[in-house]
Amino acid sequence: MKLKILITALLLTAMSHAEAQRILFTPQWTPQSQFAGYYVAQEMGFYEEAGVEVVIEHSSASDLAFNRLKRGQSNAITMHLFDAIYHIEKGHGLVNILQTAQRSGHVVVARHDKIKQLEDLRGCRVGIWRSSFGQLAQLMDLDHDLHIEWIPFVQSINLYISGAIDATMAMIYNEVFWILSSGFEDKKIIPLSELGYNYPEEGLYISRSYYERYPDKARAFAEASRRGWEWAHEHPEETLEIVLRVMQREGVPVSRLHQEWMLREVLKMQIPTGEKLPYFGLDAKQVDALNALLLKHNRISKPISVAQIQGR
Amino acid sequence: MQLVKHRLIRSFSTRLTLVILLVAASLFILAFWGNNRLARRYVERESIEHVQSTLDNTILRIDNVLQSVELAVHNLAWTIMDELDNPDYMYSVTRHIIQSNHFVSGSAVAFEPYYYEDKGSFFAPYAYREGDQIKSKQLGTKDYDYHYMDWYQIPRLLNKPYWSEPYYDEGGGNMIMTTYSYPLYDEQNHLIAIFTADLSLEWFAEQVNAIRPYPNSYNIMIGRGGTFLVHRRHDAILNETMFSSARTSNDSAMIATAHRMVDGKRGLEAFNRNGEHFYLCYAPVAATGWSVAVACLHSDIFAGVNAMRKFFFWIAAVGLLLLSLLCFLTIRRMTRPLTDFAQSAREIAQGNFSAELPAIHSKDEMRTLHDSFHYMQQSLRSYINELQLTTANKERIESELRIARSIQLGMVPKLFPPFPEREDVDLYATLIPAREVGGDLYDFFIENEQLHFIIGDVSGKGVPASLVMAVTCRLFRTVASHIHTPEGIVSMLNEALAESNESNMFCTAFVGILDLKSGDLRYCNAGHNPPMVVTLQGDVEPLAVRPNLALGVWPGFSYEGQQCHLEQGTSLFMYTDGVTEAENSAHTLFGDEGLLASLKRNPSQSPRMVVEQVLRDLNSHAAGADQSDDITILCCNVSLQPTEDPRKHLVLRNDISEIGRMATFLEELGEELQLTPEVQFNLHLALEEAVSNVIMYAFPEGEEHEFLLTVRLIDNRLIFKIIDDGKAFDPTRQPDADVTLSLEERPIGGLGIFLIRRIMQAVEYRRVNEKNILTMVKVLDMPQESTNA
Repeated sequence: MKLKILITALLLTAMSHAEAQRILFTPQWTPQSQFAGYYVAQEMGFYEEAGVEVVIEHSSASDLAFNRLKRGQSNAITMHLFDAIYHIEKGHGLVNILQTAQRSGHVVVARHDKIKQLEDLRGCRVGIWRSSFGQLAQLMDLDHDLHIEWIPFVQSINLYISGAIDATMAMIYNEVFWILSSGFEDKKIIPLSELGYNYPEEGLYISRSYYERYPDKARAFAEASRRGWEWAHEHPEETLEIVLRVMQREGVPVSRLHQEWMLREVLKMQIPTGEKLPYFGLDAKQVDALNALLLKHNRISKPISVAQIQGR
Repeated sequence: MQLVKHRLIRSFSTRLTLVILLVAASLFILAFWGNNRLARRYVERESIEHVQSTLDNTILRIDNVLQSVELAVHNLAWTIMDELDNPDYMYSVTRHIIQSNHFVSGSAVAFEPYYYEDKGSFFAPYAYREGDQIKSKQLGTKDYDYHYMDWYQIPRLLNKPYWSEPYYDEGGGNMIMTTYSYPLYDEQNHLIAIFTADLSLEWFAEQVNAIRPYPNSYNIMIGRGGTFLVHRRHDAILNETMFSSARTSNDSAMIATAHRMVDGKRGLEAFNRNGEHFYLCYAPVAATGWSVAVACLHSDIFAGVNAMRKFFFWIAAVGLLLLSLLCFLTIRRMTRPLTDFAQSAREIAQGNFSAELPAIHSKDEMRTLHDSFHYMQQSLRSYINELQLTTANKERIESELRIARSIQLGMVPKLFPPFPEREDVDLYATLIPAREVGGDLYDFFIENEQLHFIIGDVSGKGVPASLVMAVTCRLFRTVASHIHTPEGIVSMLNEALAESNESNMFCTAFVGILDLKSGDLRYCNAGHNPPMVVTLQGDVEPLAVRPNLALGVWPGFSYEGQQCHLEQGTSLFMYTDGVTEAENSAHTLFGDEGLLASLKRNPSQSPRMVVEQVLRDLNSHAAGADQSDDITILCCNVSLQPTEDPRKHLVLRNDISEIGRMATFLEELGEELQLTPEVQFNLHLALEEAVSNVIMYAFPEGEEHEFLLTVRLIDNRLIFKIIDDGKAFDPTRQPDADVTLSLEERPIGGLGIFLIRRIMQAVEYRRVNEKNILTMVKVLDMPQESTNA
């Protein structure tokens, strides 16, 4: 009887230990090509091979990834560097274990034909993401004293189509596709990277608590994710099929053309400017520049180093 | 097999059938093409009108619903404004609008944040259908901040009512919805709230999908950004846009059309996508900015036309086949007698004029052909009979003419030289009639050392002229032997010809008598060409003649004679106008000039050579042109040489041993003249005979006498003379030996003269001054009888 109790207790301990090591990963948005590398790692068994159990649970407009992390519902999320520095500085336990996007995907797409350059946005109504990403554009507005009337939108480009705004912020891999697909092929597109705001964006973050408790698992997770992205670079067509499969499984409306566009642009963003191969680390200079921007506009009070970001 | 096939292809019925088939097929193709074109145009127009009107009706129905919703919202907006003090009233308003309009599935009055202080940031009373019930709730929460929803934010920014772009309503049963948003403002024109009514897109989709003019036609409806709201592929709805779809297939025309559609234009356009032709007919839903389009496949629109075309094609194909068969059989039946006629014609052509003709019972062209064939048979029969008769007559006449020709030519002397034994005169003549018989004439003879001659030309040609010629020739011989003056002869001839000259024929003539001893020439011309006098020196000039009248023209005409002297070696060249009037193909006459030139070419030649030279020149001038007139030439050369000037001579004695000397003499002669052994042998044989005769019989036995053997070569004539003063003996009067008798039975001498005659071309005996003169002429290399003879 005693033995039985002992075995049960041991088993329960082992099970809870395994459960504790499981990584609950929440990408920033609903399933799409933006997270292709992770789907590849999952579907191709890279995580399994690395000895990590990864459960991917997507966020939505009403259930943001960072909120899930804060609540402890997720261990890992994807996040832009801009937001990561901000949150780390504010004391949130985040560790960058993989930097995926090396360039900025932010662009301004004109709706009104008078808008040809940044200066033309002065006093205009410009659409901006309500939930995230909006900060950088707003700092740019402050930098140039443009007094833009920012109109937050949730997810569609209907604001843009309706003509209620003069321009909109858009991600090159997402909204730009829909704008072009809605017959606005001739509109002026101004990438922020060309305006001096070319910062690394999306990265893979894990909660500091998990990182400190299971550093090996975290590293294995990062490594397997990186392997997933590299495979995606080598097999873009198969990767697209995996993404579409995941989307269908999750019951998300599928547009192959959109996902194809997004995968191409996301993979492009992983290659640093002037390079040919993807890079998954953090560039100290770019981190310093972003720190400087945030400090300038008092978003942070002290700079956050690469080591801090990476939990070292 | 090949032959049968060839005949079938070449047959009249096949060819005619093919022509008819070709014409009929061409007409059919033309009609078929025109009909097809017109039918397609008509069907196309009708279909387009039909599709457009169906589309317009559908859009009208959609518009009506949209307007009814708009109207309901507008009507209730006033009550909201009236009841602003009562926030809970808004629930009943939203319920009311759902109750009053069954198209409305939900409705909200969504207020600006803190419009009601106590309601906080979110206050949006909302009513919605759930099954058959209508339920209410407050829409806004922290997680659903409606202030940033399109249906709220866009009309707020645009300051006007707004139909939202259709969206998936995840809360209300996964339907595609559109929301009509109506902004409400206070008196200061500040936004109070957005009053909304939700519509399911399902009913609109049903309306649009109900447009089905053709089995395979399909419809789309797109939103303001080209997003598919209705599409035959369900996964394209709200997921793809017309622009992205067109860009995928790289269809720039479709992109342009999508632009026109989102711009609210109406239109009809033709497309070809992957070989599939279709029309796209589109029209806008003005209120919402949507656009509805109907795609109709060509194959559908023209299915009826195509079926009709196929039907017509088979009708035509079968019709043409039957037509060809009928034509072929009919034409073959109608033309079958032609084959029989061909067989009959072949038989008739082979001479069977009684060949049976095919029986024709119809009264058409075949009957006419039959009658014509029959008539032809009869005509041919009589014609052939006539022809046979005519041919027989012609052959008879030709035969008679041939005979007449030989007779006519026999009437003029044609053996040349005519006087081979004479050295004082040489003469050559030719007569070439233009037809079988001619009207030219010449004649000559020597009587009493006087050469009588005539050359003449009877008017006209052929048989009549030949008859007059014959008469003239005979008359000349007769008259000239009695009358010894040329003018006398001519007058006599004139009287004879003029008498009973009913056919008015006449004859020009030149008559002359040449004294061979003196060279004096008496002559009389009767309208004939003056002869040419050719001297030894080569001078050629016409003889001075009085023309006088032609014979037979004027009875009793007094002809005047003339006289002249011909020098030694002079030639008199007489001719008829056939010589000077000979034409070549260019109708150029040989003329006096041609004749003079020809005569001057070699004046010292013998008459024969002179004549042959003229004939050669004449032939080369005519160059093959037909001879139009009789050609007659008489040429006479006066030698007047003494006979006592032999070129070679041998004095023999009346001793039989002298034969040896004679043989030696002959051998030397033979070597000198390069005579053939055969000629030498023959000469030896003839001369031995003649000389033996003199030795043996001319002198009394025992007496010794001498006699002379002379030989002279003139032209090709070798003239031997044996002159002795023995007793008169004319060997030529001796009868020829009867060679049928045996040697013993033959009388002496007869065989000798027989041999001499055989070997020599002429033998003549004369007794002059108590001397026997035996002249023997051997013509060397005897030429063929002249063609002109």
